[in-house]
Amino acid sequence: MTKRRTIAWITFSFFAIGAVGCAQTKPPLAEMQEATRSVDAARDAGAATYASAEFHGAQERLGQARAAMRQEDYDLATQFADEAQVAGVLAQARARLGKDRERVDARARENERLRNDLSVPVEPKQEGFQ
Amino acid sequence: MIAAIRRQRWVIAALLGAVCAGAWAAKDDPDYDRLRGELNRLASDRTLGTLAPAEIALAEQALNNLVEFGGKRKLHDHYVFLADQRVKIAYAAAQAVTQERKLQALDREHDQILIAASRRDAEQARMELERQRIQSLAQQEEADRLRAEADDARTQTEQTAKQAETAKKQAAQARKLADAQAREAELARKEAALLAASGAGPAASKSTAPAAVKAVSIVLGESTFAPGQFALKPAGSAQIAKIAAAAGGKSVRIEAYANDGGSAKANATLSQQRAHAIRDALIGAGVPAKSIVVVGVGTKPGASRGAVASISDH
Repeated sequence: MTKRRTIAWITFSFFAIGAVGCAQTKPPLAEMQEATRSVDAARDAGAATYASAEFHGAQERLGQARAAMRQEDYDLATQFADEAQVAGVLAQARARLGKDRERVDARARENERLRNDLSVPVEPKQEGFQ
Repeated sequence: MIAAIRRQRWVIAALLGAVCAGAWAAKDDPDYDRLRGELNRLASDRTLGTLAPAEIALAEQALNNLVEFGGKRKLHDHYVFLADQRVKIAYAAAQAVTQERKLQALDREHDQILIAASRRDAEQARMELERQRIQSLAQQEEADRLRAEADDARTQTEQTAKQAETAKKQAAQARKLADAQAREAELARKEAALLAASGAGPAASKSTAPAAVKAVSIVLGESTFAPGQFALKPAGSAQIAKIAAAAGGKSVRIEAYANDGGSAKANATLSQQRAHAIRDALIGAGVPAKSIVVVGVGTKPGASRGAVASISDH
């Protein structure tokens, strides 16, 4: 009885492990959509101009994720989709930073021109951000 | 039972070994160390450290994932990439906040420049207005001064003209009086000649001719009396003093006149009153009353308002 029960447990475990191991991973559709939205948002934010390296990196990761999806390698597709999503966020942040720097430079030049045109002396700078 | 206990001990030992191996692997991971150092520098930065708390928290989570799930070589690069991106995102977000605050400061500076310029323009306009107001006042004062000078000059010219006219009239009066005296002297001379021719004594002619020669006449012109009045004016008082000084015990004959116009009776009365007014003034000036003879002539052709005082030894 004991020997028969042991054999039954071993057989059940073998089939259970095989079923779990052979179960196919689902396509990461949500991750792909999130990655696509992130890259599109980076493009809309002007990342192609202000953060071209980061933007092209995100596009490349998204392309690799799509290729893995076509090859039905969903684990790899999930990894690339996550990387593309984060890279897209970085491209957005860098684009925002580039735009802000451009606006700061333009406003500083405008203030300087305005001071010269109106002959307003420069006031002592206050402690603040660099 | 003993075998089961031994198997459990082996399982626990294996789990502890795996945890220690993972911790050892994380501790020796150069990528983790690099990213951890970058994130710590950002978090401890005096300026940037507090500007992107959410992004820093996500980077911390990515580093924890690297420690927890990045043990396998296959997944290590994936989690290193994610953590690296998150750290860079945290830096970029903090720097973007810095730039936005800097832009706000520049906007305020822009407004302050415009305010300073407008304030300076207003001050200049106020000063220009004040300068124009002062200039206008100066011009007005200059105009008033010139106007006053012109009025003074006109008044002086009128007075000069009046004085000239008065002097001219007095000269004419004196000339007429001199002519009259000359005629009188001529008549006296003729009378003396007739008396001499008719056999009268030479004493008579001698007594008449010297009287005519020694007579002195002082004219009191129009300034002596006001028209229609017989009260003496200040100019007449001065003439009175002059006559009194010249009298000196001699006899004084006062002939007073009135202007043409009005009735002859009224003119005679007025001239009489004027003669008496001069007489009273001379008495007041010390001339004896008995040496004064007054005549109210009335009107006389060629004579105007005034009087003639003739001083002689008789």
